Amino acid sequence: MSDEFEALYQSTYTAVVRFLYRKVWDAERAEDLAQEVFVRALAHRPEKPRAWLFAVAANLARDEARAAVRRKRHLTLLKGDPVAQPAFEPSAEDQVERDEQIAAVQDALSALTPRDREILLLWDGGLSYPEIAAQTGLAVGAVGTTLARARKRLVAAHERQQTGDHAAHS
Amino acid sequence: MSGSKRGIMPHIPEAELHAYLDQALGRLRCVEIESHLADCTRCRTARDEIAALRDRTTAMLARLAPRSTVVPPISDIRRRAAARLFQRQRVRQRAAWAASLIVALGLGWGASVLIPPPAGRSVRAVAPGVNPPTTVAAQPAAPPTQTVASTTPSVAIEPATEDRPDRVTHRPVRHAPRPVRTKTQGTGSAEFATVGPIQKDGQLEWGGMWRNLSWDRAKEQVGDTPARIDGLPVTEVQVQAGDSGHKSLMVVAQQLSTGEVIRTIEGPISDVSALLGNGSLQSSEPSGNASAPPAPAGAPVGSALTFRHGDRMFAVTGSLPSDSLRAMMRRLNLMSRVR
Repeated sequence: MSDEFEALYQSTYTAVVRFLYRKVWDAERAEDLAQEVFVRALAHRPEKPRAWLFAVAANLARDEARAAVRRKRHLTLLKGDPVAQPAFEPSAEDQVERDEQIAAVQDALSALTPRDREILLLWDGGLSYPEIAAQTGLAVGAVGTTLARARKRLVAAHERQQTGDHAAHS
Repeated sequence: MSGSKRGIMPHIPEAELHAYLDQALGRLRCVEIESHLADCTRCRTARDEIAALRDRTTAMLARLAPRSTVVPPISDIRRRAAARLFQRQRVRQRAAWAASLIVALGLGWGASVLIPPPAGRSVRAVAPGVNPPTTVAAQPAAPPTQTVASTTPSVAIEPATEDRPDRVTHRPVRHAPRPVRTKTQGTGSAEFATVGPIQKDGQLEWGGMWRNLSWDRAKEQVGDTPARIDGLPVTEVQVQAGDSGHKSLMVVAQQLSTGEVIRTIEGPISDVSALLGNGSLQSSEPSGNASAPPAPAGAPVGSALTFRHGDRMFAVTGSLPSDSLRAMMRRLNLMSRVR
C-alpha cells in the first residue's frame, strides 16, 4: 500500500498541481492544495485513487475560489494595499510576451462553460474517459462529445482573441 | 458512402474520432475504425484535423502550468498525515469524554422523566445531584470547535472527504421531527419512482436529530457499506437514529467534480418519503432492474430518484437532469445490498 501510494504520488503530483494551478492561478497555492490532497488521500485510502485525487482537488479549488472572492472583496476596501499587487517582475520583453500568451489561453479557457472546462482539464490531468465520467456525472459516451466541443471552443475563443488583439494593435 | 469501398460502415462520428485518438475505445471498435480509415479519405482527413486540434489544445494548456514543480519528498506528506491523525484522535478522546458526561446526565434525566419529549427539541436535563440544570440541546459528543449548529437546512458542503470526528448537528425542525411511522410495509418487490422537485427551495425536509458520522463509523452502524455512489468522494454522512428496533435513516453526501452534491438516502419508506418532503411519488413501476426507471417529462432540477425494496427505500437526490440521476442510481452499491 505504501509503495503504491508513493508511486501514485510520484506519478500524479505534478498533474494535480497543474490541474489546481489552472483553477487558482497561483503556483504556490496550487502546490499547497496539491499537498493537502495527498495528505487526505493518505488518510482516506480511496478505492479509485487517481480519480479521487482530482475530485478532491476540484473541491478544494472551488473552496479556494470562494475564499478568493471574499478576500478580493475585502481588498478592494483597502486601496493601495501592497498585498493587492501581483508579485510580478516584468523584466525582459519575451517574458512580457510569454505572459500575454498565457493570459490569452487563460481567457480562452474561461470562455468555456464550466462543464466543458472541467472535462478538458480532467482529461489533460490524465484521467481516462470512465474516470472523467465517474467524476462529472456524464455518461462515458458523452465524454468524447464534450471533449470534442471543448477543444473546438477553446481554439475558437483563442483565435477570436488573437484576431481581436491584432485589430486593436493595428 | 463516398470513400468507403465496402460501404458497410458509415462515416465515423467526430466525437468517436476524438475518443479513438484519446485511446478511449475498445480494441474491437479501434479495429473497425482503422479498417474504415484505410478506405475512407473523408474520415482520414477528419482524423488528421482532429489530431491537429487535439495537439493544439494540449500545447495551449501546457502553457498554463507553474514554471517548475518540484515534488516534495513523500515523507513530508506522511508526516502531515500522521500529525493530523494524532490531532483527530485527541479530538475523539475528548468527544468520548464529553459523551460519557452526557450519558451520565441522560441517566439522571431518565430516572426523573418517564416520557421522553420528541427528538429535536431542547431537553432540560435535571439530573439528581447535578446543579445547576444543564441544557443538553443537541450539542453533546463534540468539543465546541467540532460542533456545527447549522442554521440552514442544507448540508454544509466541505471539500474534505476524509473522515471527521463524530459530531452532532441539530437540524432545525421544519415539520414533524420524525414522521409517524405508518404500517406500509413493502411488498418485497423493488420499485422505482421519480420524485419531482423536492421543495420550492430545493432543500430536503430536515427535521429531528441528525448525527454526523465518519465514514468508518457509518459502516459500523450499518454493518455494511452505506448506500453510496461508487467512486465519488464522500463529503458527509448523516444519520437520524432510529427508534429502538428500527433501522436508522442515513444520508450520504457526495460531490461531483463539477460541484454538484449528490445525496443518497437510505431508510424506512415512510422516513425517506417524509425527508424528501413529498409523500406523493409521481410514478412507480415494479422492477428489479436498476436501469429502467420511468423518465419524467422535462427533467426536473433538484429532483430525486427512489428505489424501494421491501420496507426500505433508497433515494438519490441532486441538481442533475433525471438521466444523470439514473446513471448515478446505477452506480449505487445497491444490488449487492438488496440481495
